[in-house]
Amino acid sequence: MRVRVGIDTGGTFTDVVVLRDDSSAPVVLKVPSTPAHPADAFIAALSTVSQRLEQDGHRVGLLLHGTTLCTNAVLEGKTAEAIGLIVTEGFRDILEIGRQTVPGGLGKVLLWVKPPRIVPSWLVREVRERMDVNGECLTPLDVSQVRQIVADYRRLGVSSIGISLLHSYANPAHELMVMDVFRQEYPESWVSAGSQIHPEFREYERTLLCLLNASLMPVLSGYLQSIDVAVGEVTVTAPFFLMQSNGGVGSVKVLRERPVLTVLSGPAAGVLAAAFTGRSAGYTNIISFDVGGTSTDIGLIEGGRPRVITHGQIGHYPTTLPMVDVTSIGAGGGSVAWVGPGPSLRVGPRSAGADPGPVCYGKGGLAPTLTDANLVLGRLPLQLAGGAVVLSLDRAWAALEGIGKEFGLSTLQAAQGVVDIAVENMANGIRQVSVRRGFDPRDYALVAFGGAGGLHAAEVAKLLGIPIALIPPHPGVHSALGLLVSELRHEFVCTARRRLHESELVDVTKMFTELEQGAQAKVAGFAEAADWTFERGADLRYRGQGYELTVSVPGGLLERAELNTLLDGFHRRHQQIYGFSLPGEEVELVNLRLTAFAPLQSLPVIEIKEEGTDASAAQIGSRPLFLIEQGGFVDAPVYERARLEARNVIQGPAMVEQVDTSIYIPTGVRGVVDRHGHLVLEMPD
Amino acid sequence: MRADAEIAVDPVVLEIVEGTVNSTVAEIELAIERTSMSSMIREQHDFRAAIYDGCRNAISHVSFPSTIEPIFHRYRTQDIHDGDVFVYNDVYLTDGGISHLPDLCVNVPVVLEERVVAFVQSFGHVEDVGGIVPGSLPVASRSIFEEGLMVPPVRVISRDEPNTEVLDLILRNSRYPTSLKVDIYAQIAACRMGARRLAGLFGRYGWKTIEACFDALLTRCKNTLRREVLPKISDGHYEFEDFVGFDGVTEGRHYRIHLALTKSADKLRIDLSRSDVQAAGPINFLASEKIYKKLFAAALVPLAPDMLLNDGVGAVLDVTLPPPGSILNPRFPAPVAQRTVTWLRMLDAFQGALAQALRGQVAAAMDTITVYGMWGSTPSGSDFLLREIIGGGTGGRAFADGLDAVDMIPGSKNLPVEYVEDLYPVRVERVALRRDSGGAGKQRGGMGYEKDVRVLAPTATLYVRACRSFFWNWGVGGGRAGKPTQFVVNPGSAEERVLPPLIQGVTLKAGDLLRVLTAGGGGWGDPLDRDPRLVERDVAAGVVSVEAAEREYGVCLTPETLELVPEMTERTRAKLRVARGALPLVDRGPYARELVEQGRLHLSA
Repeated sequence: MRVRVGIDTGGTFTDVVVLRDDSSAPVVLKVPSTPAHPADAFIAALSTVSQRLEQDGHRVGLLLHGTTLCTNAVLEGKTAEAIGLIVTEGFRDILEIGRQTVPGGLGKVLLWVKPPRIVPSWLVREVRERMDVNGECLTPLDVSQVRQIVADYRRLGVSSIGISLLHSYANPAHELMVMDVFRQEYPESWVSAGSQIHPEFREYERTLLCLLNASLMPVLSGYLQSIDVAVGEVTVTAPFFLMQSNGGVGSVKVLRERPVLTVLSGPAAGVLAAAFTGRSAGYTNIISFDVGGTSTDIGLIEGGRPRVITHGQIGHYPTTLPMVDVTSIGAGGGSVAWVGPGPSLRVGPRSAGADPGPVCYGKGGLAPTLTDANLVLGRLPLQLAGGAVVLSLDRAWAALEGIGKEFGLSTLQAAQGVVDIAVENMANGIRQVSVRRGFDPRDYALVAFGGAGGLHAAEVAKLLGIPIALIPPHPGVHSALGLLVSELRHEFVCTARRRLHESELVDVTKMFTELEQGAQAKVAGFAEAADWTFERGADLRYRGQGYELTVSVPGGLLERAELNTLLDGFHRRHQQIYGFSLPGEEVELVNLRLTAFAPLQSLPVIEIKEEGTDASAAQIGSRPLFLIEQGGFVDAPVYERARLEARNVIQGPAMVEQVDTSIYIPTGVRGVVDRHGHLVLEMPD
Repeated sequence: MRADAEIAVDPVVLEIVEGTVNSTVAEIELAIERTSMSSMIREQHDFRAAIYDGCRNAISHVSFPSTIEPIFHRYRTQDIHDGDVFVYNDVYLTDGGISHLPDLCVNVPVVLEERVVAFVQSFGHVEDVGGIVPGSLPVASRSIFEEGLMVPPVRVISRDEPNTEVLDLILRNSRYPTSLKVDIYAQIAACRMGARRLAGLFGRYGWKTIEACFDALLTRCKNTLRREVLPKISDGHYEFEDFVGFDGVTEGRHYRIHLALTKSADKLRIDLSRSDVQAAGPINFLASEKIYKKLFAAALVPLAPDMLLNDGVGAVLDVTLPPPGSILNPRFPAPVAQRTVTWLRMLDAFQGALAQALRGQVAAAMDTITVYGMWGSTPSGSDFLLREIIGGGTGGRAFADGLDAVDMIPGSKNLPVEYVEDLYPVRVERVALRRDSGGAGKQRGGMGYEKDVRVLAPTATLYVRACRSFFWNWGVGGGRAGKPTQFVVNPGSAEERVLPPLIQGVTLKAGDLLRVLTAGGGGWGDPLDRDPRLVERDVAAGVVSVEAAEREYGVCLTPETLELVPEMTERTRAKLRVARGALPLVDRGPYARELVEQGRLHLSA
């Protein structure tokens, strides 16, 4: 049988999930990541899984891979060593100046130190040329000057170069000419032009994107070369795809040229998996809630599909590339409780990480963390990961006692307080996402995963009035599952700023058609998948606003009826999100967008055995849980996740344990196992 | 605060309340940014939100200093209801709660069981509220009546029922009514959302608990100031002054901003009373004592970077205002449109006094808010108004150089060339760091901008506001002053014209070039102590000229490859050290030096 394999490389572990085309449960395995040589972990994971598959007589039919290689390279400044930049004459300082913004609040200007730019001034070169806003050439490109610059870069050993000329989104001709010179005279260089990466107006942001891309090209290419042989052995015939920031996968051929498309792919797979989990449980509006060691990633899924946004951040670089809308907040299992000015009791955003980790790990951590608080309250077992990690309750207790004293709190009050504050921070994170989207959390289901998602899902849901929280069968490897349920996805954009009026419809239809033709030609070469569908979108705003809302646009010829639908949709969305709309006012079109999708193979449905409501067969013991409403410890049942059968019901207070996580079911909350193995937590009314 | 006693509150609930207050402010600001139309709001971030308790104290972290008092000047608390919205921009009727007319302020009460328990407030710098120039920021007004429509506190929505008559009256007075309407709606919608969030918080814990938490947040601010900030400042009496070089109206007249700082164990006393009388032009600044306190406290943030700053500062700072009729306490109807110039110098005076109290551990002076505007008709005949707040260099600091080309206002953004050229009939030919503008120093001042804007419209009218044109951004501890802001029309040509620092009504024609040169920050410490490798780097980056490297820093470079020549540098530095004599604590640039030498300017520090 041909199976699909997803390999997700994280900071600590590389997760593998194998899915067969029948309804059987996925096979899950983990190998340690190898940050110093990222390819090693991938190769180890792949060979382990292929050996196993061979024994069972299976073959890899599809290989999907998510990696934070490019993300880490950007965050740690480990991209290409010498990067160059070619800009229009007069704009050499574009990177130094940026948008003149000082991060932080009032007074921070006195403290902030500007981080070094991705290219130092002395390696930025100006070239004589100029386009105007309509793409008309005002000053022709001085090609001899370009040759000189290329020779210079070659001599200096500058091998990754960004080309970013003014108004290249309107006319890329000059950028393409510069690229040609590189191709002829310095073919071994990595070159990337703004118009080719992201033809959207706003020069600073576009410049950064093409630079990030150029600087990542050698990184991703080197990695792909290292794993090439291993991949070749197992996937002679099977396609191999990489996860992108936009929540779709892309072919290796494309991403070699555009590695920047992967920089924010890390959290995307988790959101995809949450969408899949929700869909199979019957929910299409979902809040994805991924609680890890240092942070919580929050995503929003409407109508079964993750939302994609075009304004994000990677390190201190803004990005305007489409990415799955994920908000990350500094609250996770390793979040440290500390005494802030005042004094005030703070939890996070600083994290003890994996090393030294929480105090209870006994690896030298001294500051109490959220994990320590959970342990004190009885919400964690004394051993994790099937005995691989032994926790010290005494150490955790002492650490929380220490911080409690600072505030006149007992150890248990302090532990409960640390958990309450962390949960509130998580809930506030979800609330802030809601402003951008204008949704009411009560209409959504929470899908909780990551190492600590199950511990806090019920409390966060209660706080926000969310009626249902779903815990997928393997919360610890959920992102790898997300790879397996992805589809091919590529985005296209063009800037078309104008009044959105009937008189423009012929033009706009024409521009969409051209965008579609261009896209079709491109995706045809991207992957063998034949089944591309295209979705149109338009970035709209009231004339004079600075931000746009993306509204979907019907295909084909655009006429008055379509225009009215589009306008209605925009006014409605504006009202929903911001609390007002201005139906009489002029609406402006800014960008046209096109998204190309192609499904991979159809997905199997996982089903588990159905039994009665009685879960007692899965109970493996009991332990004391601190319950604030009872004012003390209460002996609560502990269940083993693997033994639960469909339709089993667990009434809180209770704990459910599995190798990769613990799930806390508070008093009043009911846990029901559905036929796909999800644990469905139902909040009391 | 209801009582001075520190009421015991649950630290966990307190943290949750503070988190919700912060999160609510962030949500309101996000919504305003995304929906407003004024370029001053959405690009330059000249807008903020705040939350007040039922006793009119600002609870949220101060990102702009204001008050909620003006509402109560006119309305009794029992007449304020759920669903009301109040609007104002009146400078004198709000005691400077709003300090120039384009800042339109929206206020939404949170009413619980007939009690006003909190207020949500925002202000945003709107496009235009009338007056003699488009954009309502005249630089040569002689009375506030020339600056636009004054709106005293009025109720624009009463128990959810809009008072359209008042709104129509306001909008009718603007050159850009649609933009103004959207900016008002955007603020109202965002503040109401914030009020709902707060109402939820009160509902969850009850008003007694929340009020106790609000009090605790005020107390926390007070305690942090007392315990963490005051001990870092040496007790004593310090004086400093700074100057506004020009008021836009009176030729040859500068204004002194004088500040005396007295530090004792538990108080900072600030006396502004020896500042000059009010100006004939629009540089007057009006603020109440409460506002002054928060302005100064914000400058103390570097001493306790994580501190929460709110109206709790009141108990630790004392401010003595000058008598009415001063540039810092003007009488109605003195003009105020360009008051930014003056409050920036007042903050610089505070920095200068602190420099003495902290033994030099403060930044040298900066001016990062230069404004220009251009209006006229496009070649196709429609009206345009291009305005930009453009940053500058900040002062050198003990631990780092000043920042190049930034704006101190949080979130401010410059205008992308591709955006400007799409919307306005101009071409931007150059945006660069201005070479040699940052004051020399061991830590040099940040560089200002050099920006060239070519006019494409048949004609255009220009106004500019350049700060620090006469009195440069001072350097400290041997650091040199930064270069002043300058606007030049057609530089390098026969018609070159250097504009006065405050001028409106300059006519430009198609093809004219406007060069905007913004101020560099002052330098910190002796330039001859600067690491020569850093000077070499700055020359390679093009921000320091070869000549300045040698003249200011004594750093010698090879003529062609611009590489450091260490021995020659050592010799040059030794020579310069002998030649220059003792270094002044503060260098204010050539204009101030000349005045002092002529006996026309007396300095207290």
